Formats: sequence, structure tokens, C-alpha cells
Amino acid sequence: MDSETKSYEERLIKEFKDGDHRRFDELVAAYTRKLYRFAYGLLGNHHDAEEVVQDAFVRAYNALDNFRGDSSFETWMYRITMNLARNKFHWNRRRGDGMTISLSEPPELHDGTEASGEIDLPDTSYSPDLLLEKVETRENILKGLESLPESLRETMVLRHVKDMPYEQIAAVLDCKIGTVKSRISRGRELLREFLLAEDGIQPRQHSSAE
Amino acid sequence: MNQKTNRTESRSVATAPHGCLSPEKLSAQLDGEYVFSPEEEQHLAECRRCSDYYRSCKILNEKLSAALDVDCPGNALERIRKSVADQTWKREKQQKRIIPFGKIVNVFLRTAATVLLVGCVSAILLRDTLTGEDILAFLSFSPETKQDKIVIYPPISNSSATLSVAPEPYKSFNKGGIDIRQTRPVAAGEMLPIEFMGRKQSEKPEMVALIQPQVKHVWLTASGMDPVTLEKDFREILNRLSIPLNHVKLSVTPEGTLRVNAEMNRYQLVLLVRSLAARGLQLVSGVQPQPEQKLFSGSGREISEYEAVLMPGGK
Repeated sequence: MDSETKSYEERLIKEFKDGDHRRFDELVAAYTRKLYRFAYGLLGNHHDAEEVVQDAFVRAYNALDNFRGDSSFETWMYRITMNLARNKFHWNRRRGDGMTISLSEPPELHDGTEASGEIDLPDTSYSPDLLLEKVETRENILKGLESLPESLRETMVLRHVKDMPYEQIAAVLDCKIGTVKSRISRGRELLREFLLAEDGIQPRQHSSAE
Repeated sequence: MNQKTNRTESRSVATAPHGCLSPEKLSAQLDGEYVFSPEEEQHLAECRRCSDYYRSCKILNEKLSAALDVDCPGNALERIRKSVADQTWKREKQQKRIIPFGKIVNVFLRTAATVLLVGCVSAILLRDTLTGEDILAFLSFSPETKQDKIVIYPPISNSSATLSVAPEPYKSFNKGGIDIRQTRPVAAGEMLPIEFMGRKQSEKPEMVALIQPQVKHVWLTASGMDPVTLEKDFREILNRLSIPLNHVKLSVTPEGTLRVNAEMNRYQLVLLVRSLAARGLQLVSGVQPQPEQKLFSGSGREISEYEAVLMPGGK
């Protein structure tokens, strides 16, 4: 975000806090597209994405007076949207709408990073061209995203929706940069495995690679 | 960057076979968050295993970014903007307009409470001279008490949604009436009067209906009404009734049936049922609330779970 946009945003927030609540409309206009894409990436359908974005703005409006600016407004909005999308995702899953196959989430170490003892260099016995065929459809990719553990899915979507730098992803997720790095790497690997496994191909494990 | 990622790298390097580059390094390099050393560059150029994986990730990244590159469909942008405005600053503006009225009610209630308190204290102090009946008579509302009407916002002239101060025997239901901040009639002109707290004892032409905590309804929609319009209409009603969308789950089946699972207060539920009826839908289950029913027990603020199936007429 350039400094001009940032100062404009800060001015809007200040005016809001001073009582001109109408200025919130401008923040909504500035952020709707970004948040919509993010919510769509997490939920995989337009209907839920719209609902979550609406709710996120209403929540932000109610809490904006207490927004201290420790993080940027953008980071804050992404965090609110993510929490609501998370609730929505679980609600959908409870109601049986999801077609999710859950993979177990990697355990988290005390320092906030994830244990990666099992991360192997990926199997390379299949050429990238095979993968290319599998990622031709958006449905396949969204399905693959949905199959990822929550923390990996959120990290991946933040990265790919707007090429968010690792540092900002860490701020949104409230974790360390190292954690973001390993989540993205792990997420890509699981996604790749999921897409290949769709055809019944079982990528070989590291122990049997050679 | 190298410093930042040392710890995770060392773990991954340990698991990467044959001195290959770790998946984390390859992945971070693709994101512009890591720079290969000349040795690593050379390894990547020579090792088929690493270069294949690198290419796979690159393809995956591009396709993933493309899959997530969606825009709001149709007029979703405008819809979100309008809905947020309606739920936030516009609503606040409307509420500000009714503050003076709220203050009057507030003052009235405080005065009434003070009088009641003084009455009770006096009754206790004078209990030697007053009988129990005298005290009860003092505390109870007269059945003939004129009912105060409070018009629910927005104050449309022919609005028939009213709150009444409860006479006996419904006084015990009345804990302050419906929360007028949360409830609005959808279109007051279409509404029959709703009374949740009962009416004068002398006139009792209608049964007082009880709304259960769980209500299930089946509706038949007008023939030719497509599910998209139906869902849109339904959302509009929810919005106008200020029912939070995160308390509502809507789904449309391939046959065009709209399924609804929602949570709302009973006053909102009555208004919702009437709004659907006013739009030409036919309620085919006999569970309360029914569109024509006027009198309900309770304060209207009790929460009910509402499950409804809106199916095309004739099926």
C-alpha cells in the first residue's frame, strides 16, 4: 500500500472516530473487492463470500472506534474476514455442505512454528506436465484448497489472492514468518499431492524415493 | 531474509535427500522471499528432481493465483455496499431520529418504577393499616387501563405494529416489551396488528397463540417463481427485518426448493411469516405463527429456531 493511500485511509478512520460515520462507506468501497476474493478463496463459493464480507464490514464498523492502529487497517480487516470465514466454513461443514476430506494438521511447536520432521523433498517421479493437466480447472484447485488443513489454507489464500508478502501474512495470522514459510511450502506440497491423487496416483514417499 | 529463515531451513535441509534444495527454499524463492546462492542456482540447474519440483510449484502457483482471481459477480459490489450502509451508518442515523421518543419512554418508565417503589415502601411502612388486598389492588394494573401504543420504527402513518402495556393477566409476560431497535415491520401497510402481551380481559375474541422454540413451516411458492428471485426476495425480507445474516442458512436444491434455517426473535418471526404470505406464498403447515394470527403470548423477544422449506407450488 502506498503512503498516499495509507494516509488517506488514516484520515478516513480519524474522521470516523470524530463522528463522521458516513466515511465508513469509502472504506467499504476500497476494500470490498480484496476481501471478497479472500473470502471466496477460503469458502469456494460466491454466496458465502458475499455474506462474510458484509458481516466483516458490519463488525469492523462496530469496533472501529476501538481500533488502535497497532496493525494496519487492511491487516485488521483481513483478520476479521478470516475469522468470519472460518466460522462459516465450520458451519457449512457441520451442516454437511462441505465435501471436504480433512488432512491432519501438522503439530505446532512451542515457538509457534510447525514441526516439519515429515516434510520430505517431494516426489519427482512425475513430470510437471502431469500436474499441469490436473490444474486446468478452477474446481479442482478449489477442491484441493478446501481439503487443506485450515491454517495452511488460510496462509495459501492470503499469499495467492494478492501476492501478500510473508511479513504481512504473519501479521494477519499472528504468527512468525518462519511459520508462514513452512505453511506455504507444506500447503503447496499437499495441494500437489491432492491433485495427483485425484487420478489415483500415489506420490511416493521420501523413504522410497530412491 | 537468510537470517529470518535459518531455523526452518535447517530442519528442511536435514530432510531433503542427496543434498537437494529444501521444499521451503524452493517455495520461498518462487515467492520472492528467498535468494538462491550461486551454488544453489547451479544445483537447481543440474538436478532433475529439484528442477521438476520447482517447475511443478511454479505451475501450481500460477494456476492457483488464476483460480482465486475472481471478481464480485453481477451487482454484488453494490449490494454489499448498500447492505453494509443499511446495517451501519444509515441505521444509526435513523435511530438518532427516534432518540427523543426513546427518552420520553425512558423517563416514563423511570417515573413508573419510582412510583411503584414508593408505593411498596409506603405499603410496608403502613402495613398495619392496609390490608393485603389493598396492596394488591395498588400494585395491579386495572383491566381498564388505557393501553399506550408505541409505533415501531419506521413511523409510517398506517403502521399497525404496536406494543401495548400489558394488563392482567399478561402482565407477568411483559418484561419491557419488544426491543424496538431490533425489529421493524417489513411493510406496515400489509400488516395486521400484532400484540404479544395480550389485551383487555373484557375482550377476548381470539386465542392467544404460543410460538414454540422450534418452528417448522412448509410454503408453496407461486408457480413460475424462480429460485433465484425467491432467494433474493427472502434475503431482502431478512435485511428489512434486521435479522443478521450470520444467523441464517439458505440453500437452494436443484429442484428449485429453498431451504431455510434461521434463528430470530418471535416478533421477527411473525413479521417474516406475514411478509412471505404478502408475497403470495402459501403456508401449508398449521404450526404457529400463522400470517393471520394477531395475538401471541410472550414478549416477542424470545428466540426461535425457524426451519422452512419453500417449494414450487403444485409439487
